Amino acid sequence: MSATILLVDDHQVVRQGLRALLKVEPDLQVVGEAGDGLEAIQMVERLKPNVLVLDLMMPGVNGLEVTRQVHQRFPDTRIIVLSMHANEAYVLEALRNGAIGYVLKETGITDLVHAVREALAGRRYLSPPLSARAIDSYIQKAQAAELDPYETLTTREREVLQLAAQGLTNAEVAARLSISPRTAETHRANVMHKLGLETQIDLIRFALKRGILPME
Amino acid sequence: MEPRSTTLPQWIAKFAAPRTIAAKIKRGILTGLLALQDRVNALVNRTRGLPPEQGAFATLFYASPVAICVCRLDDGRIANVNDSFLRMTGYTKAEVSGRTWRELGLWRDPDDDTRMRRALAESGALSDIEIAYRPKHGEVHHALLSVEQLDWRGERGFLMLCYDITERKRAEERQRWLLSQVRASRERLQALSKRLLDVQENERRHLARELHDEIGQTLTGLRFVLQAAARATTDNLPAHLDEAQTLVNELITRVRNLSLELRPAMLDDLGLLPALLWLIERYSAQTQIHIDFGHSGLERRFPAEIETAAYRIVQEALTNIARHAHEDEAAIRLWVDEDVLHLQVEDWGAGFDVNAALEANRSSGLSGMRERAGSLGGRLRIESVQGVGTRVEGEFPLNGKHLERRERERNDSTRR
Ligand SMILES: Nc1ncnc2c1ncn2[C@@H]1O[C@H](COP(=O)(O)OP(=O)(O)OP(=O)(O)O)[C@@H](O)[C@H]1O
Ligand SMILES: [Mg+2]
Repeated sequence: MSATILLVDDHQVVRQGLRALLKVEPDLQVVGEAGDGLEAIQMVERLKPNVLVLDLMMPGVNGLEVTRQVHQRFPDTRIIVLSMHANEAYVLEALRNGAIGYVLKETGITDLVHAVREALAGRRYLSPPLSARAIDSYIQKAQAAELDPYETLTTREREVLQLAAQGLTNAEVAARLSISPRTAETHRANVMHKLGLETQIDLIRFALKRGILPME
Repeated sequence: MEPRSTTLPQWIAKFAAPRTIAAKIKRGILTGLLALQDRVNALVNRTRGLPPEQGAFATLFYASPVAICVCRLDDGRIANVNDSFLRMTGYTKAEVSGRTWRELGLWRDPDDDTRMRRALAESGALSDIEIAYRPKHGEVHHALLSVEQLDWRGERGFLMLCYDITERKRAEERQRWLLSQVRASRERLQALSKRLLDVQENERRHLARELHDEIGQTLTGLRFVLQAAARATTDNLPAHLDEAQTLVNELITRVRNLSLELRPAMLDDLGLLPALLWLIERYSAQTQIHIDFGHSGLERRFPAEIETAAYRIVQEALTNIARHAHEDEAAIRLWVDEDVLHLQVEDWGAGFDVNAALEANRSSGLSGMRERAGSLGGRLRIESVQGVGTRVEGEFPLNGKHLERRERERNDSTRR
């Protein structure tokens, strides 16, 4: 029995091209075509294809969203995303949403047959030059970092910190910076909060450690 | 004593065309005073020693809403004042009696004293000069002062009428300030919309040129190649098709770059973080400027207009660094803290005079960044020191609350 495939792309020429590409393979059978995301989901529900070949960029419900929904509701259907974006962020998002293959329209379309066979075997396929390594390094790059709390201080707050660490009262800080004592107080409270400090001693210690106060 | 002439002296005639209500009141009082003066003088003449501040004159003197002060001509010592004067200056009668304005420190500009005395000596009178005086307590006030020589209990003296105009001046100043604000913001708006049009025009020109020169040319080339292919023999057909393919790939790249430049699809499809990562990578590759990018809390979507604004602000800040900072390192920080998205772009390059640049109103980058943040209830600060570097700090409220309002509320609640 041959494997069933559903083609989804909002451009008919692309669908025709894909159909022609797959037609020569006797064990692969295109059972339907859809022109937008919504129609695609309905047809998956009706036809339960083995493989869904899906354009990433479509108006309305885009490919990423279709991938997410289909993967959730019909986990048996393997999804191959067709995309013009070689950017790892897209690949990652598609894989996270449940795609098993990612094929570049521009360079990899002839790989599609190969991608479909890999998908049927349950193996991931990425068109070159995409690679698992590139994706890993993207994940690394996108990793959130614990920000140095000092860096999250505004310029004003840094000034207030420096003056406060020198032992100036709020009123003195205010006079020095030509702001109201009330504002100086708010800035100081924000500084303490952001740096996780509680006492004036903490503040001085922090300032010394960071070289904000010159050591005598 | 000579009977006083019935025609109004020159300095009263000046009041005949009063500019202000104050002048009107003064005119009334002065006319009354003068009309009475003859009678007072007569009275004084007849019953020597009788205080002149009696009868109708006294009523007028004491009840006047205008501050009146009578001084001796030779030494300027205060002979008498009315209640309005005491109210106005905050002194008691005992404190001012026999003292001069100078001694009391009433003049803010002691030169006014000299000026007044000179005018008195020259023309015997002076009207409606604006002075600043210092009451016993509190800040400097402003008043209109009119002075006239007169005989007082047989001595030569002068009468000073002061009408406080501090409030009016304050109101005028406020009005002037408001007007200047309105005018300035209208000018800013006009300049901005003009620049927006310029920017739009430039972008269109760029697009048109790109479409015509780059994409159009490549398409023409492609047509020639395909025409040649149509006439080609089976042998050299593949070579022609290869060439066509190369051109098509080139076209795809061009079109994609063009569309990315206009607006990266990633911003809509994937959100702020991937779009920024892409922007930074491309920027570093193009400019050789190394970017230290740190972020936290960005693995989520933000309201589309905030994502766009944050992206454009970072983009403009980076462009400025490449164009103006002359420095090959910069840092970007983005983080979320209590419903506020913060961003910082910092360089350690040339720096510049921010106020001068903003006031020059010549460019659209900095003001555009500000407008973007402001229109979303956020804030943008640009700090720069020449020779040290530049820092752009932006904040966007994520809960739809205007940042300034939020702060006010927070302050109120801590005060309570
Ligand atoms: N990071 C920076 N380092 C040094 N100077 C800067 C920096 N950013 C801005 N400037 C100065 O401020 C001026 C105004 O910046 P702005 O971005 O508004 O205008 P622009 O970059 O000259 O033109 P455009 O309107 O195309 O942005 C610049 O001309 C430059 O002199
Ligand atoms: Mg600029």
